[in-house]
Amino acid sequence: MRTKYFLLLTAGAIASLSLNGCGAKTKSDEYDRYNRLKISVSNLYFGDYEGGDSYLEQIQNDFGVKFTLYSYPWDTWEQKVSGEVNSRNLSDVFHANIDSYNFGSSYKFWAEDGILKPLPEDLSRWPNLNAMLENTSNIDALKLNGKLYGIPVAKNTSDYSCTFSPFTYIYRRDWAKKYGVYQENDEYTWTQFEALLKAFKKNLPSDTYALGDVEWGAPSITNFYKQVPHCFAYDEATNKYVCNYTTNEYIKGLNEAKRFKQQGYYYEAQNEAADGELNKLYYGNRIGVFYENLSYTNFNDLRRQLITSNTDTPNFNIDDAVAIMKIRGEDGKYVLEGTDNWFSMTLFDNRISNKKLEKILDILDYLLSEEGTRFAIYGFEGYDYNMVDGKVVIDEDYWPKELDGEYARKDNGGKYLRYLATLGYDTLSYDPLTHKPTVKYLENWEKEMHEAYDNGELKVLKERTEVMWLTTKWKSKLSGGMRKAALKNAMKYMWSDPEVDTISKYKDKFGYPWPEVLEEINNALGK
Amino acid sequence: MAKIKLEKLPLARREKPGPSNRFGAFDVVIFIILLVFAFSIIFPFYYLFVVSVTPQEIYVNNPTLLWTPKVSFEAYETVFKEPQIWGGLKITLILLFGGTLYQMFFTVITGYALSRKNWVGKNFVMNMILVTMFFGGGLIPYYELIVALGMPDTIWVMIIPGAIDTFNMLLMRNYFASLPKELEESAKIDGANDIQIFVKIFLPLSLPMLATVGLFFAVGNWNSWYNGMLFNKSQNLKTLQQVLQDVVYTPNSSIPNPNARKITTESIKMAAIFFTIIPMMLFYPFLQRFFVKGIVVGAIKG
Repeated sequence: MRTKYFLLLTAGAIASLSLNGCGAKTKSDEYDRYNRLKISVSNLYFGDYEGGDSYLEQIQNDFGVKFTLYSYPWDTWEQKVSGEVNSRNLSDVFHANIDSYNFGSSYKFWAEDGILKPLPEDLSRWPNLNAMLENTSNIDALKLNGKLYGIPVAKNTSDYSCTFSPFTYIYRRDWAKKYGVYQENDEYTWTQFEALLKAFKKNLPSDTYALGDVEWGAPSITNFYKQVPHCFAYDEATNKYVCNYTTNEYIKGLNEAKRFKQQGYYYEAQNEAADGELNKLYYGNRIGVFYENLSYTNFNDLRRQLITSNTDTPNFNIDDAVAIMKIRGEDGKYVLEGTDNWFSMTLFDNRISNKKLEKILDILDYLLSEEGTRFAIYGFEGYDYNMVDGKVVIDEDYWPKELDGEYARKDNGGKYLRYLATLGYDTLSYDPLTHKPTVKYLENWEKEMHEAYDNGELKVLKERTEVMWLTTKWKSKLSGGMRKAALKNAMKYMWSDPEVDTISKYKDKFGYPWPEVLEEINNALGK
Repeated sequence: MAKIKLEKLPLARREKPGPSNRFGAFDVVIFIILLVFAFSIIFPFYYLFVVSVTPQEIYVNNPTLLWTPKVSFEAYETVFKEPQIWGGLKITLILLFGGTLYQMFFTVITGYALSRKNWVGKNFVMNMILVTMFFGGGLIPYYELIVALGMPDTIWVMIIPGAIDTFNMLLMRNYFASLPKELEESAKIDGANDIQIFVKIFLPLSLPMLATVGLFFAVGNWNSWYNGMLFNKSQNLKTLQQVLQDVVYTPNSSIPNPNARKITTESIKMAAIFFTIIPMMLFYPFLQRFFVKGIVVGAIKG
């Protein structure tokens, strides 16, 4: 009898704990002792920043809020967000990696499940934020029943009609000059590109390689041939979507990449390289041509690492060691991967009050304004900087320079909070903490590529919008894994793995679930 | 009285060293194998140290170096100046001392209670605990439970759930059970109550096993990162191992990052790793004998 009671009690305790886990439907607003509304924010880009500076304090006082800031770790960001969403252990404001591939399985699913709080339909109260959202590519794809469930974080705010990722090649111009294969203005035809690789292969020591791709970008050579960056290519002849990795164009590119491997141009362990390995090889002076994401941060980091690595190298010229290579494919065109002008989204827990949401939007709107941007970048007017004839003049008594001539880093909460709406690429050219010649160099390259696009000399790889943002059951669940598996097989083919050493064996790898997912997509789109 | 004749026993003959006592070819092979084995264990630590004192410009041009032509302790300076490292160390030390004491307390008293003569529900409790050794509730229910208890983002989430480790509790239980029952009986005759018997008789007799279990917990707490990684968001709650993970991790460069990163050279990474393993490297060799001794003693009675 006693055992029975004990078991009943245990079952009751477990049930009550489980029900407790279902959580409340709303979070009540809480205030600190200064009557400031408490808001918790989790973001990938807070890094080791946790607040405490006078800039954040100023924002908190002006807007009557008190922030608790958390950062997501880089390596487990997506898992963390997923765990927090599923357990409803969310910060009031959180940051998720939303893209067209996981759109259906994350953002759309969460919004429909009542986890996300939509933005107010009328955003006219926040003109700066509204203007930024109106400039966001594919914003309509993110609206569900006319509502936007978060803020796409702006990545590129330029006015260009076409946006592309800066995934491209840098090379050792100094080596190219040394071996007599340098081409004026870093412009290379396909034949000249191969001649350069050949010269590097011939002249460099055996542990130094002519060509390497960043781990997630291999095999980059296929870019010059394929139609779309990832899974689903459109076949005009049959009016159907097909597997990109088995199209004739992709296979032609793959065979060219395999030929490059057989010629010994590629880094010998490219097929099993760990994260960051190729980067390390490049700044270790062991790669001649490197395919990488040349965002300002990555590019500048590479430059700094290379400078550190070559402290003892006489006459080392950093500009010659990391020059962007402009390669034209066999069709005479440059190639780049198309992208949206935003990356990831700032989302709001549906349980927060309207008042809290509005406070956050107020702050973001301010930080996107001219005055707010100056605050986020420079700090306090009359202290960190002064306005002289409409121009910003930094007061170096308050903002000293380091020994290397760069401004000393200082935490500014405004800058970090601004990351909830934009990655700050719009301020790179005047942010005192950026290396201006590097920013200028990248901006010039971007401008050149846009001109090439306008002249029909740049091929931008991009999936069709209708398939990119299409949500179907299996596409949403499987396409991420399918893409990874496809690239793995492509690398196996290049490295002549016995399992995939012929094209027919390679094509056989695209059995289940490819035909099923493609059929689902074609049916959904009425193809 | 009959005289007893004592026979002189032959003295044990000293045998000449035979072939089995010589250092033969087989021994040489074994010696070489063990030497290679020892080298394979020691070399990573040695390499770690060499890289940690090698300037970046030398390392990147020769990553397979066996010694550095120029020794620099700059990497250690950088690591020691990093407030996150000290913050991580603080949390790890709290876990090391507070967590270990807490775990010891619950594990030892549970082990003791379960080693005593039959009391109502003993087998049920024992079985309930044993089940957790073979079947877990699963990560999602565990996560939900911790969230429901309001423990995320607190230091408690790294301490409270680990109150009892079944394996260690069984070691303690077996050890207590192996001690003579007469000790308890005689103490009772002398008027001692259960707590006095436990504290004044059984605990002092169990020191080797307490040391063993304590070391298991201490090593586990020093290396602790999992619950912190899963449940905590605040920077100031990161354990030393989590901070180390941040130092050695290379972010995927396809994800845009507006923040300029700190330059983390290989020597800084290696210096940080060295810093986190040094305490265990120093103490483990001296204390590991307790591990073997304790487990063997505890295994006498099942």
